[in-house]
Amino acid sequence: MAEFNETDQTPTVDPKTPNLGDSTTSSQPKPEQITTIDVAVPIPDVGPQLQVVVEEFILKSGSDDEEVRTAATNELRDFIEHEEIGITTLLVVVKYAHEVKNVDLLDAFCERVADLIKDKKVVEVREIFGIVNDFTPGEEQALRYEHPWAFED
Amino acid sequence: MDTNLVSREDYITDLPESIIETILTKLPLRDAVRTSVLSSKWRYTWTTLTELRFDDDCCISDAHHRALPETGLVKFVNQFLLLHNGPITRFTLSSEYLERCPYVDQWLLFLSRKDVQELSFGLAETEWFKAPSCLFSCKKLIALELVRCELDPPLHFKGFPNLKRLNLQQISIAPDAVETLISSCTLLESLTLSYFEGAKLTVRAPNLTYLMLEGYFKDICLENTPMLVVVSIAMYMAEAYQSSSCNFDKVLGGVPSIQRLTGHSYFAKYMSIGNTLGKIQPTYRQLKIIDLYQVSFDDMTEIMVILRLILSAPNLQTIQIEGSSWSTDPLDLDFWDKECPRDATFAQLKVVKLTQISGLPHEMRFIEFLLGNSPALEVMDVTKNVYETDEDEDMFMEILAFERASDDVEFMFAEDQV
Repeated sequence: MAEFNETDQTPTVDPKTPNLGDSTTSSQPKPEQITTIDVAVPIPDVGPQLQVVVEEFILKSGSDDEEVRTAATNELRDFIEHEEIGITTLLVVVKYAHEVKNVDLLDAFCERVADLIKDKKVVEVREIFGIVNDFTPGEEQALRYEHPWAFED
Repeated sequence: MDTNLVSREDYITDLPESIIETILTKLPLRDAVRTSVLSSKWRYTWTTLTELRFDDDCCISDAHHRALPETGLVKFVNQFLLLHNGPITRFTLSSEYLERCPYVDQWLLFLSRKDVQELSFGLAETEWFKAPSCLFSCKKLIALELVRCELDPPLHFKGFPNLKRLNLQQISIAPDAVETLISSCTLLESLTLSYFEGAKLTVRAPNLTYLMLEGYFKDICLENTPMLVVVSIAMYMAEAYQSSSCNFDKVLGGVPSIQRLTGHSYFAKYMSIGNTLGKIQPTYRQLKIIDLYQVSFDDMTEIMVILRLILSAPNLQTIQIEGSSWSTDPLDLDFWDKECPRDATFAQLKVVKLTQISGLPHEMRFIEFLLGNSPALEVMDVTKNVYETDEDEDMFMEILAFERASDDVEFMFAEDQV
């Protein structure tokens, strides 16, 4: 599929957290990474660091060798866990993974999104994701009453 | 976490349904159900989840309520299924507290109509769950896992036509019924039977690649399993095995593609019955790892099982053996000089790991044999059992003095206080 000169480490960590998807400058790959990757669908702007991580992952996930794929998935999960990736960026990658049908990429990022929902109160989840509550207080109360065990806190 | 935007735009709610479902699938069901209150668009998203996992964390935490069907898990599952919409591909029910009740049978009936593909059921220990006949009409099953269950397949049952993975743990089933179950699921690739109490087992499974048997078996025969790649057998029955034939052939006679063999407890003993070294063919060209536990080095016949294995596996890379030997009074010690094929070469053997070794004569001869015939050996890892009264350090010195075929062996020695 692509010419890939494999560098042996992920790029040096950028102290700034990646953009939230509203940056207009696209990044130039650093000189030491000669990656000419021909992705069918270009990755949306998620900031230079994350873009490289995602591109590398997509390449490795297409490998025939299961060990390569497993190592790549573990690396990706580690990265996601340790880097502060903004909500919007997470969702942009999720959507992208869905479009290019990369199940492992989708899984890894959805898992992170799920982690942000787990064990949180409904109001907290709304705030994190910017979900607008369009229930009336009465409607909401009735819904909570439908599944009381889910709302025991 | 990036929370310094005051009013954030909602990017999540309008994502494609399948993405939302993927995210919700990764949540415990409680959290998934809670999303119904997020906004009107979220109200029913959770009801179309196709993968459901119900366990003791799903509901109220105190023990009293848990036990009652009216509260707790039963109520949760009932209401959930009532509101559920669409197919269910994977269903897991795992509870230490939930005992058998009519609801469970009803849930299975419900699932059989939803074309469920993966089913996992495990209830409380107190009373084993008797699987209702509707379980056997889940024709779309690809994976089935049952714990503490009584299985009584109906007479007309012709097997699960799509079943690839079967995992039965602590199951009560008639011996010929389990054999028929296995052989009638012609696509079966992976079979696990644990805590199994059944005397004889013959496995006929032409597509099986993974086999794990653990329990009180008197006799195991792998009759039609040509595709097996990984085999793990643990035999807990201690009495002398009666056999008129060669057990080694019964178990490993028809597994040319085997890559990994693991044996626990009385496996080596079982395999020794009827075994001869005779003329050994390189039969297991893919066998790379042999992992045996509780091997009795006092018993020459068990050692011959190991030898037969390693002599028939030209590409063997790793041997791991846990010993279980007591006698310092060895019989047949001259075997090593007379009958043992001294010119054998283990060309690919790289790692040897031996534990619970006591320095007994047969153990030492075995180590010497391996060291002298493995030109590619990289690691010889030996852990010695040390008794309080034991002050003898000679065993490791003796091993170091053995002639080695490989120049690069790394010796790793350790001691285990017994």
